[in-house]
Amino acid sequence: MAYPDLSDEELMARLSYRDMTAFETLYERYGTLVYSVALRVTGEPQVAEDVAQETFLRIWRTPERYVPERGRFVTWLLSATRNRAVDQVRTRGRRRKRETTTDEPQREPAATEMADPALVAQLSDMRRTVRTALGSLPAEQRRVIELAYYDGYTQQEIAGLLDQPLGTVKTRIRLGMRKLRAALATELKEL
Amino acid sequence: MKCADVGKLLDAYALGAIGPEDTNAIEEHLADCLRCWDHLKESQKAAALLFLAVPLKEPRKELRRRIMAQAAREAHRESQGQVK
Repeated sequence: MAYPDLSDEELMARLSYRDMTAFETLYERYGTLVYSVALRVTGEPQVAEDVAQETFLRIWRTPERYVPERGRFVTWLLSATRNRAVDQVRTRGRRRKRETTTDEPQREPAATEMADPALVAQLSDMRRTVRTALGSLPAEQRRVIELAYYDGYTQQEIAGLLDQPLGTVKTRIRLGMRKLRAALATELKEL
Repeated sequence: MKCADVGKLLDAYALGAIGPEDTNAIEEHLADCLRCWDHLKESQKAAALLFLAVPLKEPRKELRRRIMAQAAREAHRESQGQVK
């Protein structure tokens, strides 16, 4: 079977044999997404590149850290990227980030960037659904979720930033996430 | 912490928005509570999906070259029997 036809999980299994082509295929699939997540969190292209590099090299060094039974590769990869990026931001100290929001014009990666056309279509559909779900939240709920997840602030920090009681922030996060789970129920079943 | 208290914090925990003190208490509870653990997995999946909504930016081609070169170097060192 050609590498682009292999699932993420099959490619990951090949990394334990130090299969460089499998690694390159994973990068072709997710390099842009991983870098974009790192850039969204750090706001700095150079730092985002470092985060993406470390994230991929960690996969190369210790592929066994991914356990397929615990969920899909892509969600694991994005969580790992996010956590590494937030660590970087905290370590380096927060600085003014260029504002990037989910309202920015979006573009989907071309098929040549992500070698598997079925995956491109599936991710593209999921991206659209997630953006719609996030966009449909009341602005104050969306804001606290973005500050937490994309910008790496704790509830307490968000309360300070927005000058709102902590209880209000907690409630907004809970309500917002409940709505997202309901709106994304179909996608969540696939993960 | 009891299930009811932890349950209210799991979404924030999945988003990485809990401070260190509550994080410890939540993790102690999760270690012994499969029910809360299952709820957490749902919150974590929803959180991970949020990253599919970020604006896509292509990295420089140089990034791919750097990563692949480093991976190849490390694989070579391993095959030579050197410590990673």
